[in-house]
Amino acid sequence: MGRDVWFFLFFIGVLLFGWPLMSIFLSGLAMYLFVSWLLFIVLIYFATKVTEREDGGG
Amino acid sequence: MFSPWTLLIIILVYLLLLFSVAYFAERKELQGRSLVSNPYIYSLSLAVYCTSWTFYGSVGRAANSGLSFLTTYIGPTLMAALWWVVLRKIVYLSKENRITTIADFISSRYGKSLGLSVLVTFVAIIGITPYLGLQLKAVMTSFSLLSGRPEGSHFAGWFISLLLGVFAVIFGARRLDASERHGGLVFAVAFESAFKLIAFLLVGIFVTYGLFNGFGEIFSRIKAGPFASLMTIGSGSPASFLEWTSLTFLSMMAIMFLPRQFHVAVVENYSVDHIKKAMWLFPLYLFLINIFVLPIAYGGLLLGEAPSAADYFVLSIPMHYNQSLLALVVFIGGFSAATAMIIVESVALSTMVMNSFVMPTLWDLSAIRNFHAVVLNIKRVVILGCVFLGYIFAVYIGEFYSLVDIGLKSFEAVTIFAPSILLGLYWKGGNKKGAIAGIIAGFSVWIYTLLIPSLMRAGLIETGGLMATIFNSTLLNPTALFGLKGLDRWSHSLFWGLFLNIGFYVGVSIFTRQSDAETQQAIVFVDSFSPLTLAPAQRPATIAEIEDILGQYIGPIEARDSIDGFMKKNGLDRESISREWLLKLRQEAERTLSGALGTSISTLVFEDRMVLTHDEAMRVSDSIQHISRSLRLSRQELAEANRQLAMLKEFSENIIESLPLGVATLDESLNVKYWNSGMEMITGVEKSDALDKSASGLLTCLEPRLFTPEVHEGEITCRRNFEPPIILKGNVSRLTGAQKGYVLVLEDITEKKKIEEELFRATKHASVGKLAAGVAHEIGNPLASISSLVQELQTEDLTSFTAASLTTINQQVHRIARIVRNLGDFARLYPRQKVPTNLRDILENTLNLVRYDRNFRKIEIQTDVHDTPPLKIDPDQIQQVFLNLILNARDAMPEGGSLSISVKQSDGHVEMCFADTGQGIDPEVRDKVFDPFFSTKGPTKGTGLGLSICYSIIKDHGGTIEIDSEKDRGTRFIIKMPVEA
Repeated sequence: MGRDVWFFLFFIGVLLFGWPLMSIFLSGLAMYLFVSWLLFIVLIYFATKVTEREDGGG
Repeated sequence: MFSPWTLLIIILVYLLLLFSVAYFAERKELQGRSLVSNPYIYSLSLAVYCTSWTFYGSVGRAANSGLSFLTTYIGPTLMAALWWVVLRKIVYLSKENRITTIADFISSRYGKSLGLSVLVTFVAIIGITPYLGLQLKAVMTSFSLLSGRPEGSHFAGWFISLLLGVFAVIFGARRLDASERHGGLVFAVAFESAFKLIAFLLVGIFVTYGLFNGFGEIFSRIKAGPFASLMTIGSGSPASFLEWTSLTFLSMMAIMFLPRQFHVAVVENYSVDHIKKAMWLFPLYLFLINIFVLPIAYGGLLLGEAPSAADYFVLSIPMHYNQSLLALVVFIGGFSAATAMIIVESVALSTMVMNSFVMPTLWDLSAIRNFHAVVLNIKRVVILGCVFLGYIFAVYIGEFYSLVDIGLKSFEAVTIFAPSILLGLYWKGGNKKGAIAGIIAGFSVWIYTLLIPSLMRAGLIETGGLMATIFNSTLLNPTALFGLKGLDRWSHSLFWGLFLNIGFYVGVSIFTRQSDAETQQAIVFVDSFSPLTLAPAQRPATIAEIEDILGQYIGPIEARDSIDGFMKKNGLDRESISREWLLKLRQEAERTLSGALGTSISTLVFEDRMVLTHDEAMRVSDSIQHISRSLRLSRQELAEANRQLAMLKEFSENIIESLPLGVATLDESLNVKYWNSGMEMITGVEKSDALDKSASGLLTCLEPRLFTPEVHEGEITCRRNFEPPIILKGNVSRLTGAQKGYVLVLEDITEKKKIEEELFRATKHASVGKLAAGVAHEIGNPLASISSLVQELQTEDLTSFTAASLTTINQQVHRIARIVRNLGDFARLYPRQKVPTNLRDILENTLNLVRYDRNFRKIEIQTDVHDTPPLKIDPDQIQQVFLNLILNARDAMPEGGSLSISVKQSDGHVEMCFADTGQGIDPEVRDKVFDPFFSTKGPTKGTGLGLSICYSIIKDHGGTIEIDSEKDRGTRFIIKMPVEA
């Protein structure tokens, strides 16, 4: 997978915490932000596990 | 709630606790059981990012600007997703290039430019000082809040600043460490991170569940109240999406480029592996420490607290509800957050100052005594200086701004480094000039748009006059530069800062040339890093690990011996080895292994980059052990061969030294290279005086013509320094083999020659003697007849003529008889008897015989006769010798002269010397004077047998007779006769 997974993850994060998606959840923005935040952390966790299993590195 | 002194004591106790924790961790590290080298400590140490800004300021910002405070933590979370690509590369490059600060990193990337390092350090100090001030402001304010004594806060602030400065020195500058690693400090920071998280969670739980019924109640009450806008972003809220985006970006840059973050994330990194875990652990920490920010902020507002005091809701709320213990825990939590930042930041800044300013200035003085101590003390002063710079900011400027405001200024400042670092990592075209131009442009924007306005607001810069004109102009308004309006100040400053920074960096880089050093470093930084080959970076490893790794390849016993040998040699103890020595041990182990595997492979082995299967590792291990065994055997054989060679050399030398011959070797230039003791004896030249000297300079007879490719053998007469000339028989031959030159073998044959001459003379004498004996016998008989007939005729009556003729015939017959008698003497026809006789008597008798000779009247005879023991001699023969010598002296001095006769005992001999002042003898004939029938007097004056007879007589008596004569300078005869025992 290489470094692509990380750039992809970063891109996901930019989207999650960027204006377009945030503006959709304006009514419950705090909840959205915290849930997205936790979700993003979990995604990072899984990505590290997957990449470790594959080749031990990025 | 607490007295100031109580709080100060508590602070002191807490600092001592931190120090104990740090000390404990360092001790463990020395013992090879590092507590710091694990991803959890690494992740917690990264939480130094959460300072008093997080602890107090986030709540303040949340209460005033709503959700925008989250950007400070979401930004780092986003950045964490790229850590495996970006941070890992930075860590790798920093390890490879021994980089210890962010200034060093930028400087190294752009050709190791000192100027760039100085610039970055300067920007960092100016940019981070507000951040340091923020911490001290938070501590002072929380101190005065908790003590209820605002008037004492400045003194407390000063005292606390001093205390923190001292502890920063203790933590970060106890000794100079080239690696700038501080394991104890990292562990203490991790401890503080844990403490402040717990403290914040406690107060969060208290507010959320103690004062309210949870998140639901708080959020619904806020939504329904006047503070509803705090729950959103964009229109109708205090924060715009642009500001959200800008602040998120700033936070992403801050987590990478704040000096303290660079220090803990890069410099203090033990293993790149830890980054993988930190990528989610650290964001999780940020998540946890922010869970209760909104409830506390909203709860404080709901409880009626003023938004302007929101920075300290975490403290004021428990205090309001008399939760003194919780308030104390919160105070310590906030103090913890500030302390960690101050200590790490001041250590990081001081390292930058030392590397960029101090060391380049003092390097020429490195030879002075105690240079190490001087440098360390300067570093300590710099650390204290950084802390007090922050204090000054806090006191004179800090009061005008919230904590977050101050912090964001620092975030903007460190963003200045982003283009030169991030673009420099992936674009080889970036050069030093571009980096300098970009940083200066970005810094200028920062000063103009953020710093100057804050200084003006603090009253430190005049707001009127020219400044007012400039600031109010359309183009140069600090909040609307070049007429760009509608942006919040953070976005505005960020936009122009990045725009000009990147613009200058790229533009100047494109239009200027790179030096060779910059090109090389660009390749190192951009190209050498390859994720495919990247593996865990160097980690120090414990002694056990090093021994284990080494043992896998050279055998466990050999590995243990190697390590024990290293420890013993350096006086180390396995239980208490310092990090520095651990690194040296690892390097030594790498060197040991490189002898078998080569440098690159051994490095890879220790960096865990070598991926072998178990079987492959075992085969390599077997091979290495076999090689080691063979090498050991070879070494033993070599040692034995050396020993035997040494013995052989000594034996050969002994032989040559023992020879009764002179042996010398010369090089091609005829300089002496070897000179044995035989040569010393022969030539009288010591070995030490002979070596490396020219042979012909030592003995003139060793002329260059003797040293030709052909072998020369022959006799040469040499002059020595102290003796009469010697006769040497020599052999000169070429040296065969690698060493060119000559071998010279000399034998002293002087004595041998003398004996040969003696023998020759004796033989000649014997031959002549035999001849003389025959002639004497044949002539003697007829002579006797003639003599008796003449005597008979003389009795007759004769005429006068006949009588006269008969008389003449008789005289001639007597003369012939005398000659015959001499011949007989020579041939020893008349046997003699030897009796003990005193030479003095013989000499006296002889002198009496000649005294009255008229020819002796003109000759002065001087005698010097010492008492000598009687010699067993034939007195008549010896008298004959004396008489011959005296008569020869008379004949040599026809006009008169002097004759000196001396007799003395000397070295077991009696020496007699007859020295005249006569004509002397020519050198050409000197050696012949003892030959029979040789005479210098002419054919009618003597038979030429006199000296021959003397020679024979003396020889017969076991003595020697020698002559020493020079033409016109007289002659000396020296007779030596042995004294019989």
